[in-house]
Amino acid sequence: MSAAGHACALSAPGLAALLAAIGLDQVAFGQFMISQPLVGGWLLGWACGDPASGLLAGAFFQMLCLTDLPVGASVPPDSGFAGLVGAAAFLVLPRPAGWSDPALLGLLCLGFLPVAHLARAADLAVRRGNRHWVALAESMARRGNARLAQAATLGGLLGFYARGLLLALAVLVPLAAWGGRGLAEAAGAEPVLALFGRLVPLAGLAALVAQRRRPRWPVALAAGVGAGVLAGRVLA
Amino acid sequence: MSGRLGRAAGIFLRGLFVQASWSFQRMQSPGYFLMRAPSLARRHAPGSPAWTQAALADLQTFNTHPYLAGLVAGTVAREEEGGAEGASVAAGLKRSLMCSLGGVGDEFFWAHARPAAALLALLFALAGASWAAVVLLVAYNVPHLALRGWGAFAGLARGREIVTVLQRRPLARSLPALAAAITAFAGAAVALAGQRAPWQLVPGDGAASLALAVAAFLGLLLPQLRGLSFGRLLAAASVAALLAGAARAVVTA
Repeated sequence: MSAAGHACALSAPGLAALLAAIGLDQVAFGQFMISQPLVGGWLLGWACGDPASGLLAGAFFQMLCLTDLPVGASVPPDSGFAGLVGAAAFLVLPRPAGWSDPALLGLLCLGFLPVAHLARAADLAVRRGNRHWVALAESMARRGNARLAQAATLGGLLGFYARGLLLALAVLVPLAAWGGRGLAEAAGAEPVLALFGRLVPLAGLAALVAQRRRPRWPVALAAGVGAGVLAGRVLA
Repeated sequence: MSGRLGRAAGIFLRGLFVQASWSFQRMQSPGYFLMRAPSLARRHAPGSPAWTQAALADLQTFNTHPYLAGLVAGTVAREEEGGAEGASVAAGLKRSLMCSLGGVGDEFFWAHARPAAALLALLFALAGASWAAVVLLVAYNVPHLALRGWGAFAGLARGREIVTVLQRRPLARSLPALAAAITAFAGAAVALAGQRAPWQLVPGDGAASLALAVAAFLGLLLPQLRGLSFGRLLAAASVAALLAGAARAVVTA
């Protein structure tokens, strides 16, 4: 994977609209995993005319949300959506001179947790607001209106879409307007952020191993590392 | 048979929207009703008092794993065909199935199948495959869609007998293998990231970068094995990177 400069063919609001549509896959429709950062980033990259950059950013943010686990009615920080926004931000932001991809991703990663928490708060607001659609559905049922389920479904879809759109607009439009001005002058920070950008995915992988470990997990881990080393040698 | 297949297809397609209006008050209930609406219309004339009563009952709290909601809807529809006795069995089945299947689905799909598919795709991405995202979609959605389709059809075909199939715990039995695959894939991803641009910690030097990547991974794993959450680790690392980056930018300027 490599990416050389990003010049998204789509405007920031257009990208936000697409991102919000992809984000519907998280809860409201299907759960086909189109909204996982790896897939969503790749699709956003296609829309921007740069699928390689989308895949690179998607892979980076995917490694940060492998431990997502919404159990039952719980709503954890929305790292999946934050990953999608991060991938879109990577596509919108022109790469400044002297900055590598891992450094730019490391810089964007600084906003990952705040966006994940903001997305969770917005998700909770939509889910609370959806009680109105339930009330509407009940009132339609009492009137004998068979369209009640369609009305509630459409209302819920609109709520989740609006949530994604507003969040994406709030991040992408200011970011596109900023355009990374001043980053070239701050290239001294590049090595630090590049190191951060290379270490954070390893931390995400470590988090997953720590969470899902079973008896004899070190054997599986060692086998995986061995296979990865061999694959790396073959690919080299 | 073809009628049942058509009804199962209807439940399957409508089930894709089961969480569209998820609320804390009633959770998936409008989505559940959306799946059940055609079955209800077969039993009662829409708008009739019996239809209204059944619709309001379906709008009571319902929550399960979204992929298995069709199984519940199909099973309930089948039981309701057995008249008054069947309807009473169906209400109990709905409650017990939604609770047990919720836990089963979360554990299998969210905790294991999703990270396993994502890691498999990440391996392809790290290896340079431009179509790696397709790997995730295929690896995840083949079992996902098969289960969703089977659930709707088997529920309609077997009714309460579906419980005997579920008692064999077909999903839970695959969890140890999936967990081992997740760990192995993660190890392979660490090794690949250590050797492949742009993730190499020592650009251009495969062996040194690989050794550093594995050492860094183990260093990041240990505190998490001792209970440090990834969120806290990421927050601390982000603050450290921000401060160190800003300081270095100022010094070099």
